[in-house]
Amino acid sequence: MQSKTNKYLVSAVLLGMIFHGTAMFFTVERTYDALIHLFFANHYATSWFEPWSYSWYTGFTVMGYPPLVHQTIGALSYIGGLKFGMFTVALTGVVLFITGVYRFTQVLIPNKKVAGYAALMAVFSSSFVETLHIFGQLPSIIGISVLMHCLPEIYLWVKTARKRHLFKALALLSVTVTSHHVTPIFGMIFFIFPLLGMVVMDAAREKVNSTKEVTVIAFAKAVWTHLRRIVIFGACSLVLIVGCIFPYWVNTKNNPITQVPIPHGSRDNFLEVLSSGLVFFVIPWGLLMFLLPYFFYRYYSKRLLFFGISFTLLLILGTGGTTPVPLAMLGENAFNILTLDRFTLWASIMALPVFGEFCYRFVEGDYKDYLQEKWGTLVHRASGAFLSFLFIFIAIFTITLGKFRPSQPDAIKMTPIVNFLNEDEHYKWRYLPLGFGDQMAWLSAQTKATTVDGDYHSARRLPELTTRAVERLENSKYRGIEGIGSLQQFLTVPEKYHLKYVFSNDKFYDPLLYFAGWHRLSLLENGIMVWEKAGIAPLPSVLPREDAPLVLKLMWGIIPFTTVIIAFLLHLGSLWTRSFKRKKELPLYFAFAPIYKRAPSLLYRASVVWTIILLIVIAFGGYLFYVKNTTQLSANNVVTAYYDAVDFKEFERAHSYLDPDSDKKLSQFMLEISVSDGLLSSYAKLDSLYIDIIPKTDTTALGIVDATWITPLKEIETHDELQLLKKRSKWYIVPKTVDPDIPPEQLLIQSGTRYYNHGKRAVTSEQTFHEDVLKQPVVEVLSARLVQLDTTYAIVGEIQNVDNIPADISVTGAIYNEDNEELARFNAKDVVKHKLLPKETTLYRINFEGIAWASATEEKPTTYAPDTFTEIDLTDIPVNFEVQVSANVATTDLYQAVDLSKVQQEENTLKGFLFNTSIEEATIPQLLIGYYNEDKELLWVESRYIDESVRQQRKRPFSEVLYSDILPTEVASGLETASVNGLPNQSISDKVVPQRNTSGSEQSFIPIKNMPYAYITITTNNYVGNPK
Amino acid sequence: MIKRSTYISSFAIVALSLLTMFCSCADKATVKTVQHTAITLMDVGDQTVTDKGLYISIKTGSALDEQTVYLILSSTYATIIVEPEILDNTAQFYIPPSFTKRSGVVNYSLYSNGNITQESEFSLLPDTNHLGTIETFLGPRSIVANVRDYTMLVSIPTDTLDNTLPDNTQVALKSQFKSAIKTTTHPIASGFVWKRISSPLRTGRMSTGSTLENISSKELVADVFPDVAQNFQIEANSNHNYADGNEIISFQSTQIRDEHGNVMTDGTLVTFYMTDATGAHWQNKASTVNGYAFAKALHPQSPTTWNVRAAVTGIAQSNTITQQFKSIITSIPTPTITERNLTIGPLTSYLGQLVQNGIDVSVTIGDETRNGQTKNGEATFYLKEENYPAGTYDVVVRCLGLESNTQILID
Repeated sequence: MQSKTNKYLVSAVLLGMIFHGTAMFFTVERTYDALIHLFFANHYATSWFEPWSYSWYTGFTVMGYPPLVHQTIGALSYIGGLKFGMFTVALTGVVLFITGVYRFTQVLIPNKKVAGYAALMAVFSSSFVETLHIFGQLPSIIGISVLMHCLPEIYLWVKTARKRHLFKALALLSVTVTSHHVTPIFGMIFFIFPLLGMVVMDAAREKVNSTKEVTVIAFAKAVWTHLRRIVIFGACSLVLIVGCIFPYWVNTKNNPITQVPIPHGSRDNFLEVLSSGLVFFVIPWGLLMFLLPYFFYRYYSKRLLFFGISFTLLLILGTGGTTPVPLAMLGENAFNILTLDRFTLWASIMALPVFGEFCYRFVEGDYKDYLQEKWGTLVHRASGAFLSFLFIFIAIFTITLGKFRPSQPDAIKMTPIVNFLNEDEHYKWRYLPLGFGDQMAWLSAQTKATTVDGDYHSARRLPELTTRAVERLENSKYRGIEGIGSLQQFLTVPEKYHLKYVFSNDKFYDPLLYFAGWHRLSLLENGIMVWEKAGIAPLPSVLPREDAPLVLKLMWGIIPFTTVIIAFLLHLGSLWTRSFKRKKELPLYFAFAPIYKRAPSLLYRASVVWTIILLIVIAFGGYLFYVKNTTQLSANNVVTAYYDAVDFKEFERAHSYLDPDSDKKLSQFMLEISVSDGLLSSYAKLDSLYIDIIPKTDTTALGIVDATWITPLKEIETHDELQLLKKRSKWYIVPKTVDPDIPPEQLLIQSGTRYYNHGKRAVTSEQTFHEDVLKQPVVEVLSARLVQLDTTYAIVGEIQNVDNIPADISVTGAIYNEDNEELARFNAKDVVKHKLLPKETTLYRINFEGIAWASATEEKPTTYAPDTFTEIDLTDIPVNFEVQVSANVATTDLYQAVDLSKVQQEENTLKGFLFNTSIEEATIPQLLIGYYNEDKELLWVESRYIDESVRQQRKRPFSEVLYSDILPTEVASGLETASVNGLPNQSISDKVVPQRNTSGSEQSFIPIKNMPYAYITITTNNYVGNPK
Repeated sequence: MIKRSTYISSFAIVALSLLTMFCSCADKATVKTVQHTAITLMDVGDQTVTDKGLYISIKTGSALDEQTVYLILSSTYATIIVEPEILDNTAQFYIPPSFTKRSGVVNYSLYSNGNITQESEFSLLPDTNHLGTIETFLGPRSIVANVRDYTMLVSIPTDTLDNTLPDNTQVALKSQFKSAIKTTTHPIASGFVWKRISSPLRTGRMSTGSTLENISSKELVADVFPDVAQNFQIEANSNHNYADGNEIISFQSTQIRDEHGNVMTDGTLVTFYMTDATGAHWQNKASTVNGYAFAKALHPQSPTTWNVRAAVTGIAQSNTITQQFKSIITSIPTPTITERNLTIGPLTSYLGQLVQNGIDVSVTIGDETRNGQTKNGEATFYLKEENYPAGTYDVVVRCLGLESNTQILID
């Protein structure tokens, strides 16, 4: 028989290359994983045999991920750059996947047309589209595609015992292993085991005359005769799985994943978290959902029985946390490490052969006749057209999902950042990107500078990171207290990590950076703000690393490519014959082609019922969606929608919910928005919203709204009462009146002092000259006390910049036990003013933070609280302490924008207002309140942030509850152990201000009545978001 | 630079040792007789450093066994092994330039057949005839104009081979401040000279430098900043003294100087504190410009008297001044009510003009106190029917430091 070219396969491959090949240029770079693989690829391109990378996590080994795909991209990058490599590999993946499905289908359903249809369907399979274009999981795609190519060879080996097939199968399996480690392990269970079962079933069938005669006994006999081949294959593949990526296993054993699991959407309950349900269940299944009865019918036929079991298991495992089954099946550990979306991917891939078969039967097979007879030709054709339209629509919807619901920030131009890092040896310090999404991997791939963060969380090494469920510091705001908590520790003690630069692409983090003592350096041309911390030592020229044995390095560098070459050579022959049709005989499994009889009417009825159920569910879901999301359908909806619009800064939409008959025009509304700034207006993210609607009449209601907002500094709770009214069957909000206050002056004139530091005066890349190094400003510690509050310890005190130049101070405290052994050391975070003008004084408080939740058993807080800190676990009782201040010349952020006005105690609150006399808007004012006893000794220091900004020449009333808890007790005090810039504080005190007097102290104390303390002082600080 | 020269020297040493080895191998054939006569070296007196290397001749014992005779030299720079070579038919030890470039004491031991046959030392002296550069260091780079503070100039002259010069070489250390130039000479001790330059009592910039014969250092400068501030005076300045809550009053200090009359550096922070009879507290910060500090504050909304005092915390303070603010109205107009809108006003100011927008007005009706602000001289409160059914209510209005009690009737 002269076999013809399978035109379905050819069209599928061409279609796939056009469809995916065109789309991927717009999608792959914006996926979750692709850029991470690019980073790894870059690592191999620069140092093929060296597994240690310094770029992330203060150094990690790339032996934590199978290298084939990365190495391939790396090798291709020599031809056309990294991205060329990535797209080439992706396109190869597409072709491999389509042909893989074709070959896999041939084994399962030995019919070339069916296989052709399956290949065509594979092109638009929504799970494949999602994996490639949304997740960017290149190794996973390559892995599963090669595995599918491997399956026919395994079949033939077990069936014929020809060694040729064994070698071919093993060669392909080793390619799978070196591209993705999880695929062959689970592929063994879910693809290869059922395949072996099917081979044995076929063998048993050969011995008897009809399928019915294949009994358990016949099957067992067949197992016995094939056992040797199965065992040989199993043993060899085990050796390959271990051997091909042996360094990976060694690394896994040496660095076991002991970290706290990171939440992943695929483990959610899809009914509760609908977005996860959509992404991890509805989209991958897509149209296939409707055909589940057919899949089960086919897979539970005798020949495919084992695939039926496997398919069912995969389907259930893919449901994540929706049902308790996956957790019970996998066990807690595996459940928390694995991402369960891969099961859905495999299940949907496994469905493709049968789906292809259905399409074949529907389009030109027996179902066509059956349905045309039942429905008539027109309906049959129309439904066919509709189904194919729907199928392609879902694929297109999936591919564009990243466009409509971006999972990543807009593409960032990296060149300015790379230039910045190369400039003036900035790469000698570590950097931290914030708000970059997975593009941080692309930045890392382009620079030799290193970061404490990273994007492959299995490789995290710092306990600050591994003990928390924080994927990256970069997106820590999405991880609540754990995220911000981790980030705060890095920002507070940056010298520990040589962290000097932060690239901020999200202004959410700016206040945190400012109050932790960082300052803005420059705005790069791509809109990224560079923040810098003064006084950080550069990285030592030799960094610690874990060296791997040479053997492992060589294995890692050589084996993956070798497997590809061997597999290619072994398959060269069959590739030739398959492409040019020298051989006429069909593979063995074609003997088991199914014979299509009239479909059982039970299946038809089941399918109809199932379709109706699904349609009802979809309709109900759509209805719920409409009721919940139609913004002005109810009073509750309009309030929710208004807050949502305000949260996402969609002010035009927010304005559309306001009463159209009120005099609040859009321009007025926008004007009011533009003059409101501050922590709440500009840096808050809506966390929760409680709406209580009190209906009054049919058309009016009162909405009581309690909202919780997360800011980088604290949690803000707002309480609002909104008047609601219904007009023309739509609900509206009655707008509020605006503060009528008028500032006294129209044109403000201010003279002041500004500073500039050249850094280096000579244009040279050499070390800074002696005469260009500025003297560290001299500051003086005025008081220091170690206090104890319950079980926590803190150091409080006052510091004055006694120099004539502004100082940027960093205050470190350490506590010691009786034997003078250090128990803890930490820096003052935000309870200190870091930038001090000459002779300016600040209060400070140093808390001793431990690494949060260092022990796995510790209970984690369930709610978010940005100002919570983890107390350190002290091994002994502190009796002594030390304060070290290091000062550097400050040139920016020295604004004195807010002044205290009319501050008075009213029972237990402190009332007054802040007045801004400057020409800068004080975006986030901070009050540092010091509490003193009768003898004017400092007892405690607190920081309070004012939620709203203070505009120029405006006042902002504030009302702060005074500290009313038990006051801390003193453990030790004194200045003997205080040091400044490495010199004893006393020597500075003696030399600079030897005759210190009480000037200003009497006036600065505000007497307080009926409180456990007698006086307070207030130091004001302010963050200016947009300096003029 | 040091790294680099070390690198070059080590390279040179390796190259030379290889060369030496090569030569000695080549010479091997020429040495025919092997006599084990003890050899001695010529006396090596003190030498000047050189970048050409040194030869040490052998005094006695002409025939050598290269394999058993060698010289070990040790200085602060390194310890090296030198094997003899034949030059002009005499055997000599050649000490490489990398070794002879560094001054200091050199100990040497001559080994023959594994035994020390001669031990002695000589000095490599700095080349005072060929002077190189003077490195100078000055610190701290900013000092304060008082008798306690000083800066220190350290000078290290070197020869062309970067060796410090011998002790007691006289180096001139110079400093200039304003019109005065001071020059003092100091003998080198342990390779360097140093001098404490006490701070002048005036602010400015001090330049320093040092010279030795024909070589000179860079110029290094130290800034002289003013000492701590002395007490100062303040005064208030405002367009009027009405408590209208909408005028800026500015407080101004006299020029703040230190003990010696030096004006404070720009940016020095002065805090102004205001208190009134009710115990309310104001706190305004100002940084000086040319010694003057200006603080601005908003007039209060009710008549009061402020006690104002400014201070540079812990260092200096001003006198206390008082500032009075007069009321802008004498009485609050009777509230009117129209369509459940309670209106206070129009409130007029000291010229009879309407008060500025944003004046706080608080109204207490029954138990409930509500706060509002004026707009066009009036403050309006909407009294909702559900909260205030028709009837007569006692109303207390507080604004601009006044209080009035009336009754209103809501229809």
